[in-house]
Amino acid sequence: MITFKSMALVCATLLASSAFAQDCASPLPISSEGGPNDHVAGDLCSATNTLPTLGGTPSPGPDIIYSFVAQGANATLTFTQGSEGTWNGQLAGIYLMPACTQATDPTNFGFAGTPMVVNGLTDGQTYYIVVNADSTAPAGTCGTFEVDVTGTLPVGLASFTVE
Amino acid sequence: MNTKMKVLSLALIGAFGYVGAATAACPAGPTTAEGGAWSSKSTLGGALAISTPGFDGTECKLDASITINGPNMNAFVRDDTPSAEPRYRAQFSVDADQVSGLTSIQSVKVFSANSESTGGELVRFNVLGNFAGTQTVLGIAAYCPGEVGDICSDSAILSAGVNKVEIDWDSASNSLKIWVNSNSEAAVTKTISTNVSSASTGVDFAVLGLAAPSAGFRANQLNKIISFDSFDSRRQTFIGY
Repeated sequence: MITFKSMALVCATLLASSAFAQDCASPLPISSEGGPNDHVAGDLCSATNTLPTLGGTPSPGPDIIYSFVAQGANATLTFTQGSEGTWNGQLAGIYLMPACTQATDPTNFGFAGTPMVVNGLTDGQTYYIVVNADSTAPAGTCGTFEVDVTGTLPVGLASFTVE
Repeated sequence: MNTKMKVLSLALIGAFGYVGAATAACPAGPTTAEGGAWSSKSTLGGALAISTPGFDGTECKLDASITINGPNMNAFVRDDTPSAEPRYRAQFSVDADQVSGLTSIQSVKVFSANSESTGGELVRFNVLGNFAGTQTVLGIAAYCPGEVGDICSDSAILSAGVNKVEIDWDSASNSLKIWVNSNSEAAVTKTISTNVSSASTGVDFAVLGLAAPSAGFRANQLNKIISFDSFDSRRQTFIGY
């Protein structure tokens, strides 16, 4: 018999595992406005550092990575940073990456109050959104965040029929 | 073994003497073939120029800029004096005021200490900005075997005007120490544990100037100069200023 307490423990473990699985090999989904992942949220304090640099941008702290396959991308991503003290007054934000490697320079960014506009991408190519603390932040900087998508990243499949 | 490998000061300390007129003291270019002290240079989509005066009373400085908006553009000088150095100290002056408004995606490499064998870039410095574009940042990356991607990274804030940057990369103590505008050996700005074993790798050459500009840097900072001066490298003793 699974008690409520043990069930809760299992759920917590699964959530923690999910948080640590976010890396270049297993990025989380993010979708167009109206899609299943047009609002994503996370906690960098539950993540690890998987990209020590983003090209020339240092990235010593934890990161969380989302991906999408561009199709007519024309979107605005709004980043909201939590107010908890673990941020230590440091900014965090999002980077747009055309590849998920430590040698890849980000091509765009956004942070609280400065949304990231995403357009002009190559259809069919996978792009990555990396949530990270600012380049000046110490390695342990972390906290909660939310990202909201307005507009199109991938084109959603509205309906599909076979005749 | 010399404890002091090379003074590659663009002020030409000692090597050419002070002759009063600044222009007379400066070489035509930074390489030995041009009267300078560097082993070689590369200007692929970039420019290097000697200008006067230098920083902190020196005669000359090196001005580097990226002039073409393309990938892998560069403008740097290279010192081949080191040879598998297990300990490498270096210092240089850098002024990045002209590349104002740098953001966190506008980065350019300004220095690296490299191995010809294991590890490649053992130390790499980039200049970039923060998210808000209000601070100029020295991005630090070090070869750290065993860490994620075999890299450790960190950052330090650069001041307006001329900054003095010094490193002590020491494989015996598995550490990289960095001083930014600190003239006290005890007042280290950043220390990184590199996990490098003493026999595994060493510094074979150093590069100073601009390389690997990001797309954001190239789009916003073309033809803007970052200036360098007073490069000094040695094996053992703190350099200071």
